[in-house]
Amino acid sequence: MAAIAWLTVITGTWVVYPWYREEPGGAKFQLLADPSTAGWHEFGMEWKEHVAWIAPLLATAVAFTVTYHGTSLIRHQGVRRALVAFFTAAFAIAAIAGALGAFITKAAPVR
Amino acid sequence: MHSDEITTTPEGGAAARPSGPVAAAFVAAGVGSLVLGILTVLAEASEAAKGWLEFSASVGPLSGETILAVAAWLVAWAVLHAALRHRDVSPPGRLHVRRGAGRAGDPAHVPADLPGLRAGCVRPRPGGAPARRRSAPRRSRSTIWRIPPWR
Repeated sequence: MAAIAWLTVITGTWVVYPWYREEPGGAKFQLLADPSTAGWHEFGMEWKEHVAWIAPLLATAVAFTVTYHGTSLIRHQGVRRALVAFFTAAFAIAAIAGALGAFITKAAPVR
Repeated sequence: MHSDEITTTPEGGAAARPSGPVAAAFVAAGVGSLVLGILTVLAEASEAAKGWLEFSASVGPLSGETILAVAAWLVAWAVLHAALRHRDVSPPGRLHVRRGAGRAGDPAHVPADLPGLRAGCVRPRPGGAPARRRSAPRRSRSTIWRIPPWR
């Protein structure tokens, strides 16, 4: 998941996002042109484009820890609970960012 | 057997690796997230900061925010890993100290690099004998907000 999360945020930021904010016909300007859809950019996209970057940071820490401890992780209950919290947070952030991206694409498809 | 009893055994055998590198990875992730948050607020609060963070014209200030946040994460991870790789660290918390030290009966159970937490330990009795456990532990908030030890 860590590798996929990195791939997702990198391609999302450096490949897809420039299309989204391309002037004048980008999806960003389509959304902002209509007050009823402006919130999708002002809240949805602003939230998604930043917070999504936290997911790979957390997932990488989880991946490192699992690799570091290996099967002996079973002995480290505190670490395991921290991993559960980190991985759940990473998954939730990725899910929210993905859902917002899907809704934004519905409101103003990126072409 | 309570599951936590497994983790507080000091003799972890060959599997007991220092927890410092794990703590370094976790804290570094926090540092990266914090830097991203600070830079995002700066970019929104100041036009000058927004312009400075625009490393790529097509991506906008997000480019600078994410590059610097990832750089901060990597640097923090490298520094913390180097500093903690041979150490055992535990999450700070009075509740953890009480539980860990109370069970082991030895304040030395608390990592030496967290001297501030030693004050909350159960002290050994004169002569080196460990403190006895109460037959019926008092109820306290520590039973609600229990922070498990790392190992």
